[in-house]
Order: sequence, then C-alpha cells, then structure tokens
Amino acid sequence: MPKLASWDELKQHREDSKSRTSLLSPDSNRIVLAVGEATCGIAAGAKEIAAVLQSEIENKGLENISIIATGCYGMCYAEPMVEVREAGKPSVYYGYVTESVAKSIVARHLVAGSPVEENVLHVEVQIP
Amino acid sequence: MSGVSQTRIALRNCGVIDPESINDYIATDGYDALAKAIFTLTPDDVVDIVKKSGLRGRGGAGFPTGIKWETAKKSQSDVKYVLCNADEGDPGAFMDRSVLEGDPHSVLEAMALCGYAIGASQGIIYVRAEYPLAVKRLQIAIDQATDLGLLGENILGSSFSFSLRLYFGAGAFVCGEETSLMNSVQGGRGEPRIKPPFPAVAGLWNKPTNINNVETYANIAPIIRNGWEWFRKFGTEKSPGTKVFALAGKVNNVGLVEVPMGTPLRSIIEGIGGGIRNGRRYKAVQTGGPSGGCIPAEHLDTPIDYESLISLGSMMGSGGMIVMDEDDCMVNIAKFYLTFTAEESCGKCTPCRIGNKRLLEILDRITEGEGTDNDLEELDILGNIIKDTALCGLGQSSPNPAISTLRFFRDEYTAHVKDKRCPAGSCKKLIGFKILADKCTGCTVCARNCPANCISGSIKKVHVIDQEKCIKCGACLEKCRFKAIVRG
Amino acid sequence: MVNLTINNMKASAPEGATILEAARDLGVHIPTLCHLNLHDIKMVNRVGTCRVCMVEVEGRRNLLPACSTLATEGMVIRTNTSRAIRARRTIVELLLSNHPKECLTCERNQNCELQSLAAEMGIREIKYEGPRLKSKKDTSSYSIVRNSEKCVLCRRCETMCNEVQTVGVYSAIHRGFETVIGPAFDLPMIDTACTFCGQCVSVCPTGALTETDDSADVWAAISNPDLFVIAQTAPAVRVALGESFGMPVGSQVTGKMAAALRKMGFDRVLDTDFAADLTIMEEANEFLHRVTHGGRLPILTSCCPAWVKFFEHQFPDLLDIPSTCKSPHEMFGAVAKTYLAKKLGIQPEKMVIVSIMPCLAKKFEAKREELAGKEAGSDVDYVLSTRELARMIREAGINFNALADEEFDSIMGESTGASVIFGTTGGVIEAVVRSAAVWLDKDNPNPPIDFKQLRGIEGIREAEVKIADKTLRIAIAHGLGNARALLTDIRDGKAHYDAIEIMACPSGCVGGGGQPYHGNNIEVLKKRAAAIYKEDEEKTIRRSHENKEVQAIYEDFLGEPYGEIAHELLHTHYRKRDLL
Repeated sequence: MPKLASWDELKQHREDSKSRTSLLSPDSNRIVLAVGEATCGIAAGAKEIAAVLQSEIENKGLENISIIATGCYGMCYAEPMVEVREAGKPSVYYGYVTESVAKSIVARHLVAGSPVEENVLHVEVQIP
Repeated sequence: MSGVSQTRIALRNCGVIDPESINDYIATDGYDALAKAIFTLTPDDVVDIVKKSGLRGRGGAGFPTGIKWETAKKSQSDVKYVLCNADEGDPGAFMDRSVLEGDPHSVLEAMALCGYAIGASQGIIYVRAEYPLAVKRLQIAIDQATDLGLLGENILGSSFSFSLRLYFGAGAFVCGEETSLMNSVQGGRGEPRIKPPFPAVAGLWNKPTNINNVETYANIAPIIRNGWEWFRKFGTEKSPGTKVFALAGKVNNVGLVEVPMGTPLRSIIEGIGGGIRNGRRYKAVQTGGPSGGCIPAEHLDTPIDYESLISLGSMMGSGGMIVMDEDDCMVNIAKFYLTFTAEESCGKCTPCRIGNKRLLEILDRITEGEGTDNDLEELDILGNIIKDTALCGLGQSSPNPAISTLRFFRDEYTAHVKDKRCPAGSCKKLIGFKILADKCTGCTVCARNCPANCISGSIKKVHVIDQEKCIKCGACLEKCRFKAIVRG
Repeated sequence: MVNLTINNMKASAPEGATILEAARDLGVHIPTLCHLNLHDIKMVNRVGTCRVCMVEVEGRRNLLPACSTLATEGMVIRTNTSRAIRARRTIVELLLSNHPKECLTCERNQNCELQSLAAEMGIREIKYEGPRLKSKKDTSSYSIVRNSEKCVLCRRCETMCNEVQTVGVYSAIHRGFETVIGPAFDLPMIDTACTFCGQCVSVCPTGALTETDDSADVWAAISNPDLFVIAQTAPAVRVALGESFGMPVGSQVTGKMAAALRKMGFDRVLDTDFAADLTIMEEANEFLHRVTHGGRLPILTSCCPAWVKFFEHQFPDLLDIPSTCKSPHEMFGAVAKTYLAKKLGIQPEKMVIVSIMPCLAKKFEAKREELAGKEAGSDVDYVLSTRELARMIREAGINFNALADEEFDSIMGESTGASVIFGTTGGVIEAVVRSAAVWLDKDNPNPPIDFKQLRGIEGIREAEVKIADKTLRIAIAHGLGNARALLTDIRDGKAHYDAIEIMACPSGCVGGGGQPYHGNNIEVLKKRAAAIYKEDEEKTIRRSHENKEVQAIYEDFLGEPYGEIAHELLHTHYRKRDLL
C-alpha cells in the first residue's frame, strides 16, 4: 500500500474506507455480523460461533453478509456475543450465543427478519 | 443493564471496529488527531491541551498526564522515549487487555502524539507476553500503520518521524512499576529505581521518557480531536473523564464498564453489575488490585475518584473491582492479596522483602486460630511502617488490603482471634460441621459423600461427624437435603 | 549551595549532596547499612535498599532514605522523631529476624556492621520473628565463601563487582523473600568469571561473603614433625597486619610479624619480597627480549592472579601480551622446592610452602594446574590471608604487640626496597624502572631511584620515563574496571605503551581482598601505601638486581635471567576461559 503523504490523503482514505469496513454507511445494503473476539470471547467459544455463522450463511446461500471479529463488548458474563448491524437500524446484540442460538440468528433474524428475542441483550452504547 | 449509562471514551472502538483493520480505525476518525496535531498544533499546544484536560494517569497513582508530558518536553536531550505500560498484572483486571485487543491503534496514535509533543521519535510498548492476542493485534497494527505512513519516517509527509516497537514482559508483577519496567527493557532485573530522578528527566537508558499506561493513552486522541473542554464535561473537577473498571467477583454481570468519574460505587455494583449473585448480601468491594483496599457497604455511595478512594484506604489502581459477599472472609482476602504481593516483591528493599513476609505470617496465624490481640496491633503497626518505608509503589501499598480490612472489618478479625471463629465460614482451621440430631433422618447421603470417610451412623439413625478426621470440605453440608448439617 | 533545616538547625549543603551528607556535616548521625561511598575508587553504593536511614521530610507522605535523597532548597528534615526512629528500628529488627543469630561463631563477630547497628539501636528483642531464608553455603571456590543466609542485600558486592571491577558475577536472583545475591543461575562461584579478587568480601557488611579459611590445614602441617613448613610473606601484609591488633593504621610490623611466625612454629620464615626481586629480573629481561626480538608490546605485569584470571575470561585474544612470569610467591615456591630444598637437604615432598598474602585470588592461583610443582605437589601449598594470619596469631596466644622485632631467615629472606613497593599500585613498574635506569644508562654514576610520577591513587595513570636516549611509555591501572578500559584502548589500537602494570584491587595489594577490613574508610588504604614507601626508603638496597641473594641464585642455580632453567621454574602460560 502506498504511504499516505498528507492530511488530505488521510481524509480521502477515510472516505474510501467507510464503504469497505465493518462500519456501515447509511446507504449500505450489507449486513455485518460482528463477533466479540477478544480473549474473553474466544475463551467462551466465539471462534466456534463465528464458524457456525459462516457455514449457516453459506448453507443458506445468503449474500451481502460479512462476519467480522471485533473487540470486547464488556459483557464478559454474556459471552460469546454476536451483534447484527444493519444500516438504518439499531444494532441488535445477542449474548450467551450457543451453536443453536447462532443457527437461529441466521434462520430467524437474517432470513426471516425478526430478532431472536430470547437471546437479545438490551445495551445502550453511547459513542460521544 | 438498565438505569446506568456508560460513557465510552477509552473503549470507544472496542466492540465496534475490527481491531485488525486499520481502515476501520481510520473510518472512525482514527489518526485524525495525530494529523491535526502535526499540521495545526505546536508541541506546546498539544501539551497544553492534555494539561488543561485534567487527564490523570489511569494506571494507578493518578498523576496528571499533562505535567508528565510537560516535564519530558522540557528535559533537554538528543534522544527521548515514549513508553507504554501494558504490563497489566493485577489479579482480575483486564481493562488494558481489552483496549489492546479491541482498539490497538488508539494506543499507537496517542503514543505518536506524545512523541510529537515531547520531541521523541521512538516508542516502546511493554506488553505482557501472557497476552498473546494483544501482542498479535498490536504487531498487526504497528505494521499497518507503518505501511500507511502513519508511523515511521516523515509521518503524513511531515518532518515528524516516530517509530514503535514491542517489548515483552516476562511475567513479573513489579515490572508494572515504571522504573522496574525501564530496567526490564534495558535487559536488567525488574527492580525499581530510586526517584527522583523521575522518568521524564532520566528514564529509559537515562534519557527523558514519558511513560503512561494503555488506558491513559486511549483517552488522548479524543481529547486532541474534541478539545479539553469536551473532556472536562465528563467526570469531576479533580478527576475529569471516565474510568474503565473490570468488574469481577460475586456480581451478576461481570465484565468491563466505563463510567464517568464520580459515579457512585453503588451504581456500578448494583446497576451495571446487577447486584450480588445468588441473592447473597454485599460485603465489600476491593478496588485498586493487590495494592488497594476493601470498601464496606456503608461507603457504597462514595463517588469514585482518586481522592475519595484513597481516603477510604483504598486506591483507584488500574481499575480492578472485585466484589465480595458474606461468604468471603476478609482476613482471608487480605491474606490472599498479601500472598500475591509478597511473592511478587522484587526483594530489593527490606520492608517489602522481609516485612511483607512477616505481615503474612501474622495473617496466617490469625486465619489458623493462633492469632492474639497483640497480632492485631502489630498488623497495623508493621503494615504502616512498610507503607512508610518501602522503596516503590508496590511495597508502599502492599499492606493496604490488610490495613483496610482491619479498619472496616475489625469484628471479623476479633472473631478469629478471640472466639477462634471465622464468621464467613471460610478459614478451614476455624470452621467445623455438626449434624443436628433432631433433623437428621439417617438417609446416609452425607456419609456416602464424605471424601474423608469421617461420618458414621447407620440407616435411619442419627449420624455423627468425627471432628478429628473432618477435612472441613463442606461436602456434607451441600448434600444434606434436610438442613441437618450446620456450621459450628 | 542549598539551604535546609535538619532537626531545627539551619544547614547548607553543596548542590547534589544527599540528606545524609548534609546531616553529617552538621554533626547529625543517621544510621546506615547498605550505603557506601569510597569516592576515590569510584565505589559508590547509593541504592537505598536497606531503608535503615529513613528520615522525615516535611511535605512528603512517606519517610525518605537519607542516603539516596538529594538535599533540596528549603527542605525541612527531622531525623529523630519517634516515627523515624521506630521505622528504622523496625527495619533492623526485620533484618535480624531473617539473620542467623550465630554471632559467637561468625567470622565477622565484633566486626559486623549489622551487629554494630543492633548494638547502636539497643535492640533487645525482635518483635517479628519468623522462619529464616534457607540457603546452601557456596564453598566451591578456593577463595570466597558465599553464605546467603547472612546476606542483607545491601548490594555492595554487586556494585563493586559490576561497576568498579566490571566482572559482573553478582546480581539479585529469585524474588520476594527468596531473593539472594549470587552468580547467574546460582552457579557455583568456581564456574563463573569471578577473578576471586575478594573486593566483594572487603565491602560486605556481614559474614555473607568471607574468605575460605585454610588455617586448620596450616596448623596441621606445622604440627606434623615430618614436614618442613616455610612461611613467606607478601609486602602488603606487613603494613596492615598491625591493624588487627589495634595498632594505628600504617604501622610497619615486619619484625613483629617475623617473630610471630617463628613463634607459631614455622620452620623457616622467609620473604616473598625476595621473589619479587627475582620477578623483576625475569620480567625486565623478558621485556628486553621482546624489544630486541620484535615481540609484542606492551608487556603487561602478571603478578596479580585476579588480573590474570580476568584477562583469561575477558581478553582471551590478548593472551600473548602479559608477561609469562609467575607471580612472586609462586616463583618463591618453585625455587624453594628445588634450590632451597637441595641447599637445606630437605626432600621437596616434605616441604610445605605457606604464603601469607593480602589476597584471596592467590588461594585460587595456588591450585592452578599450570602451577603444579616441578618436584612435588604445587609450587605453593597453602595461602593464608592477612586476616587469617591475625586470627592464628591470636589463637596461638601470642601477644603480638609486645613482640620484639626479628629478622627473616636466610637464604630467600633478603629483599630490596624495590620489592617492598610491589605492595601498592605503581610499585611493580617502578621497581622495573629502577633497574632499567641502571642497565640502560651505564654511564650515569648517579641513576635516579625514586620515580614519583608513577605513584598515586588515580585509577589509570600514564607516564613517560626518559632514560639516557630512550623514552619508556608506561601505564598503570588498578581496579579491574580501569584495567578493562586500558586494555580495550590497547585492543582498539587507541593506546600505545611499552609496559603496563595492572593490579586488580583498587590501590593495589594494600587494598587486597584478604587485608584487615578497611571499615569503609579509604584513608586506610592511603596510609598503608605511605607505610610501604616508608619501608622502601628505610632499605639500604633499593634495586632488585642488587639483591645479593638474588644474584647468588642466578650464579648457583638458575644461570641466565630468562634462561632455560628460569623458563622452566619461573614462567607459566595462560588459557582462554569462558565468560560466565
């Protein structure tokens, strides 16, 4: 990658990045599944959950969905955690995600469009 | 987690971005603060903003960060260093790990900002080798930032150059103490140096060095980007901003929280933490790691800031917060922490090397029912002399758990010493189990589950525990369905 | 200057002075233990580890160590508050709680800084008794015994070894209560790069580091009627031994020492100084041989066994520049067991050579394979330090102070002023120059004898000595750190000399690791050196080659200096050693 040689180039890179990253621009039609993969999440089985999500998405032939690893959500007690991000909608956070919960998230939330209520954690995350 | 809102500054990107993608960080305004500083601010401006923000060190002592930076900037030298203390070692604390694993670039950007401010072109992150994921993500971040020209020579085409490398800590707790950390980087034994001179004057390789911990750095970029006035909107007058705590122990919701300074302890424990597990009663919260103290229920409404915690004989520390309930014996807790610090003492100074060992022996005696009134007195006297005379922060704070529990839970100590009884039922030598004859049905469950085979009695007859053989494991108490077994 | 207040008294102290220094200037005593400042030899231990010197400073939350806290403007210090006194006392009690209370049988009984501190504070009971650290004694070396149980972790040995001597054997190992000072991986001393200079022993405040005691073996030899036991004494012993019997520092006790040795039962009381003169003959001729045969220069002296072991470990690529001469006491042993044995009609294997030395490295040296005797055993059988000799004299019930002076026996008892000055830094090279001044300037009826430009206490000294039309470029280093600096310059081609004298111990042999404890007072070493020069001046013969007995041995036995027999008996070789 060529080095950024000015502030303007950094700003341009920022704009370019917005569509390529896990952070969705308002007009994106992608869905991002973020899995908490800090040490705490991994220890609770986050990597296995991410693999289940991946294979379920492939099995169901879903497109425009990307799975990303993110850091710690802070709710260690509820790991593994999965977050569903859709443009224009508040993020939905799932806790205590097991293999069957992961399958339900794909089947009910992604395919059918209704969150798996029994596993949703209500979290306010305020980014100042 | 209803009722209490968290405010995420240090953790702003944790659980938001992909930590292995610099583009994610850049997309959330990452490296904008660095660019702003390089192109629109002088080094003095940067120091001034950090100073005015009132940011204080998040690693424990709460020293004003801006003053550190200013001193390092004023120190004349051809070479200066920026160090990051990522040697998080308090038992039960994982704030820094989360930042490093979830948002490594925020630390990198802040260190570059510091380099720009104090006139340093080299930085080292001293990270525990026991944090393999943090190490991996930090290295990825450094490589990505270097590839993009955000670290290295002539950052963003400017004349400012700053490079970073990692140095792995080998697991000594005392290396979290800044001068020990520097000795360790230099290839020496992790032992504290005498201060003064302070690191900002003569630090790594005796060159002016700014050292802050991970969480402190994680606050820097937002402060530079949003201004000091913005930062001061959070927290209190003397302790602006937020603090990350690792909430652990007997609460329902263990995890990481970031709240404005001044938030009462109760809001964290009962609000975010969701109260005590299994409906037990709150007894104390231990803050500040092994160097901190235990805070009882009557002080739960204390607002969390550096000064309030110190006045309670505890300290902010790096942010460990371990909640205890009525089953925790406070003497035993003090012993647990002192065992840790005594083992982790570097052995350099007499009070920490020998004093802590003797202090621990006193606690040992008390938990084994051999303590005397004099022991209680000496615990306090010796503990305070160690605090008064030890060479570094580790020794100066190591007696805190003992002194603070003695202050707030003296009756528990007295019960151990006078009545030879452990009210929490946790000191093995001081507890016993007995079977209540009127409740025992002679079901034999207890006898069958006793690992020491010390319960005798035949079917439908009252059972008896052989107190000589009993190992006090409590298995019988748990298994009895008739509440016929009690402590005592 | 900074102005401060100590115990309500106004004081001023120079910039950079510590609270301790400011207080001492004011006559205020603050107890210390780890602190040691021997500024002249760069031995400054300001580590603040023991915490015995804690004082109260207004405005500071904690007590501060006076030894390592700088006095600053306006400081208000109180050294005698109950808080400070109680803390200091507790610190000493803690140290004692982890110290074997074996004072009665300890080598340092009545000469121990911890013992003195306990006495000074009037400690009668130890409040915080508990289990002590258990550690095995390291008796692996022939020179130094390391007993970690008596260690107070003052770190003086470490500072001495690492910073002054640059040998780097000691560091703290393990942690917490288990911390001890020792070689890396807790290796036995014999397997390390230790030179056995014994400077660590010299500065140890307790009995944690002591010399290996060979006195029992020597007593056994003396009392065995079948053995012929010879004592030989090094030059630096005679100006220090008196201190062990309460005599003023710098007393010359050569005559009393000879008398005491005779009373102890040695069959012959002889002088290593004789062999020092012999060394000059050999070394000077080796030097001339190198000059005339295009050998490598500079020549380095080789009388100091700690220095020899140092360059074997640290400069294995330079093994061809030190002189091949054995050290004087080894030369003595080699000729005693051949020449003297024949003269006296004694079988060499019945002869026991006991060297009385200011040195601990000589104990190791005597066991070197290269120095196994030609006829029997080793050139030297036992080495006793000055301290061990003092103990043996006392043990034998000899009233040392009342002894009348006696002479050394003959032969091998005669010595010159040149050999006496071997005992201090610069002395060996001055002895060489004294003879060279005669040999190289045969027409001068009055060749000079004192070369004061070679004397002094500076760590590294250099001088040019003009003799007739020649100029000798000379360098002198004492202390191994200084030796390292000099050798590094030579290896890098930055320094060019003809001859260099090196002594491992700061001040040379007068400051040897086997001498009576100097009590942390560098003036002691200076006074011993002055006594050495005084002894030299009192000698009628002051050039080595004028020693009649030396002349006789070449005539009767050795033949030419640096000749064939001399080579076999008086020269040795060196080996490369690993670093650790």
